[in-house]
Amino acid sequence: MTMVAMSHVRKAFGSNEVLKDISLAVDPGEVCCIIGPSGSGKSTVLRCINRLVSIDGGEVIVDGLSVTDPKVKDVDLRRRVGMVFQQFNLFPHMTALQNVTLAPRKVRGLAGARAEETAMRLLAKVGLKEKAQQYPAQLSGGQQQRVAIARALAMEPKVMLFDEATSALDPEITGEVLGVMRDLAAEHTTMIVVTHEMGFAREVGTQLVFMDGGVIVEEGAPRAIFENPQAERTKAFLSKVL
Amino acid sequence: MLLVGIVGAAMRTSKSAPARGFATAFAEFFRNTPPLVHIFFAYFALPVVGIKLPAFVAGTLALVFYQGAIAIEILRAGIEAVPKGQFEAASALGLSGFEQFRSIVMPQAFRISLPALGNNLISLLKNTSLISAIGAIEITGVANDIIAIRLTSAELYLTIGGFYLVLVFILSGILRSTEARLARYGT
Ligand SMILES: Nc1ncnc2c1ncn2[C@@H]1O[C@H](COP(=O)(O)OP(=O)(O)O)[C@@H](O)[C@H]1O
Ligand SMILES: [Mg+2]
Repeated sequence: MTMVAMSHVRKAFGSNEVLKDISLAVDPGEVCCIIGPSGSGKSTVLRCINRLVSIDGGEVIVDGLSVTDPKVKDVDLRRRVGMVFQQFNLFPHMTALQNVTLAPRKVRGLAGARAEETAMRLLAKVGLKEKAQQYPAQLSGGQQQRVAIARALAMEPKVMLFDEATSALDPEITGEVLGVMRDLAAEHTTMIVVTHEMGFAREVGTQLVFMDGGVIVEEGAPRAIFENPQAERTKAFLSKVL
Repeated sequence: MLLVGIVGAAMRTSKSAPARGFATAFAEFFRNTPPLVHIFFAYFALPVVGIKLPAFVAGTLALVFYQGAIAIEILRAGIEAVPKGQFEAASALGLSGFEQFRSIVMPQAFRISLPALGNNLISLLKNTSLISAIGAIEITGVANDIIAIRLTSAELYLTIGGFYLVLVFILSGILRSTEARLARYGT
């Protein structure tokens, strides 16, 4: 079954049509990378998937649940969808460990000890076991983003969304975050990744989507698109970023 | 006072229009009228509609409403200063609205608002002197009684000033150390 299926999704903010008829299917284990110029609607696509924005038309089905179905609760969707933001958005008044255990305790109802056990395993996985008791302000950007990834993973989501997870980082430390994302891909985590890291999209992505002006201009196998883009707009964009 | 502030600020920033309207009206009314009027109202006017309160209770209630209204506005500003990304991250994790407010928004808003809330608490302490106007027992009230007996008023009001100064000094100290403790996690 398809993990995330968007069909003919439309979204406008006031008179600004941000998504115009977006259709996209992501199967389990796939790494779908979305590239495109700023303002093309990439973040909005991700936000439609976990209902951070509501759609005006079309349909989004996540693991069998429709985002437009009023019987589907927000929490049902959000347990299935982990999200990592450009600005990390860690909770500054909580330690790394508390950031990771909060949602499992409050949303999944795990006991404190169980939640901490899982959290420590995830912090170890992102290479930050020894930083568990630190507050976000005491961590570097790359470390904060890795904690944010562990925090999202702690909900055991079916699909992970990454919204420019490395764009706020200094170039020399993007690698530690991309490394964690590569590890997740290698474990066949289903991922939808909005990124400007063309190397990651090319090597790790199983599917590539190029968006511009609220439409999907081109999609297909990453290698094929990078080597032989069909649409003029794709060619123009790639010649600028590569 | 803090309770009024927290509940009021929650309503003031909630999605529900009636809750927002009520909290706004409450805060604007009590904030923009003198506390002495509230005290007189609670003590002298409420009995007219059958609510008879002892002087101390009436006075305290009136002050809690007044300072609470100020606390609502302070905390509202604090809540609005919490970055939008915090709400988004909390929503994306599946936290309920109440849980977001309790675990994510309020602790941060509280920290942002702490200096202003501290001043509000100090002003509450000082305004307790107003309750003497309706004859309830607090420091100034006791002083008036004593003056009526024998001491000169200058001596007494100086002593009273001293008492308040000491109390405010202690309170400020506690507030400062709380701020320092909360500053631990930076940003
Ligand atoms: N909450 C919002 N309210 C109004 N306009 C928005 C909102 N979010 C995004 N937009 C607008 O939608 C367009 C697409 O935004 P976005 O999806 O963030 O693009 P991208 O992530 O590709 O840069 C932009 O023009 C942006 O200004
Ligand atoms: Mg974006």
